[in-house]
Amino acid sequence: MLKKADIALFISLLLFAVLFIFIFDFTNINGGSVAVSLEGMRYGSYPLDKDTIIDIKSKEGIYLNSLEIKNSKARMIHASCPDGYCIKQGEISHSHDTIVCLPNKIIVEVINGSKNKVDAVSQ
Amino acid sequence: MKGNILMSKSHNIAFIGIFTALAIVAGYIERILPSLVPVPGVKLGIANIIIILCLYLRGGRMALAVNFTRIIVSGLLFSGLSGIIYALAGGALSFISMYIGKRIKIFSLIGVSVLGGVSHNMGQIFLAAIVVWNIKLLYYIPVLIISGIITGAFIGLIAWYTLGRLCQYYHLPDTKPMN
Repeated sequence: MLKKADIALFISLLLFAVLFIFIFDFTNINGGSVAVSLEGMRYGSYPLDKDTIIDIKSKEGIYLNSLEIKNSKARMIHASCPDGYCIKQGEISHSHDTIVCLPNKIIVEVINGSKNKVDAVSQ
Repeated sequence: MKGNILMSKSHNIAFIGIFTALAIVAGYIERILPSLVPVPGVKLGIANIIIILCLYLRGGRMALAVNFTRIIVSGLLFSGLSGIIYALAGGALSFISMYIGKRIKIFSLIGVSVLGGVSHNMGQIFLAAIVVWNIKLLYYIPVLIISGIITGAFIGLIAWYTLGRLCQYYHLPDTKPMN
């Protein structure tokens, strides 16, 4: 009743289904966003799938940093702090990844992004 | 009886009438059945039993006529215009896949049925993703593939045994299945 081609069909369909799951998990078609906080308070949330540049300003309107979202990744492209460590931290895209600018008290964290190798950190 | 299976016009009309009615009832039964899985688009596809029977008894043209008619009438009766559009999307892809699958002669009836089930789901989810313009819907594809395989195999099994009985009991030349 069942032919060789049937078995081949089932197996290839199953493989495709599994492949699909992997593709979705790693290319972050999922979306996700970055949450920016300034001095411990919510500054804003920005989706990772929209390429933008966010200029972060303090309450008094003083320019602090610029966050760039491109290709579903976020990185700090400009900072008014003296050391610029936040820019050196590079790109983030996985859940729980962060960019921190201590002098300007800015924290950028990825929410709902692609799966991180580390899912939780005990402290 | 191989070769040309086109019968007289009145025969065709009667055939299409009977099987369209069966397919509509099958769709109705499916609507009544409680849905085991809450995922949208996961369905048994009982009407496909009828379509497969038509395909193997009288060929693609008749099966297409039955399929198209039952989608329209079923939609008018039960699910409304948007239901018809989604059913057409799924039914079109499903019919094309089953027809091609049967024509190239490497699949058994079960394989053809699985092709029909999976492609029906794919057609519907693609249309939904376009209509809603949301790519996150495509997340459902793996689930729909797996459920398509399982339900397709199950429906195919039923169609297979039904076809066997039909040919066994009615030893008339015009009920021998085309291969």
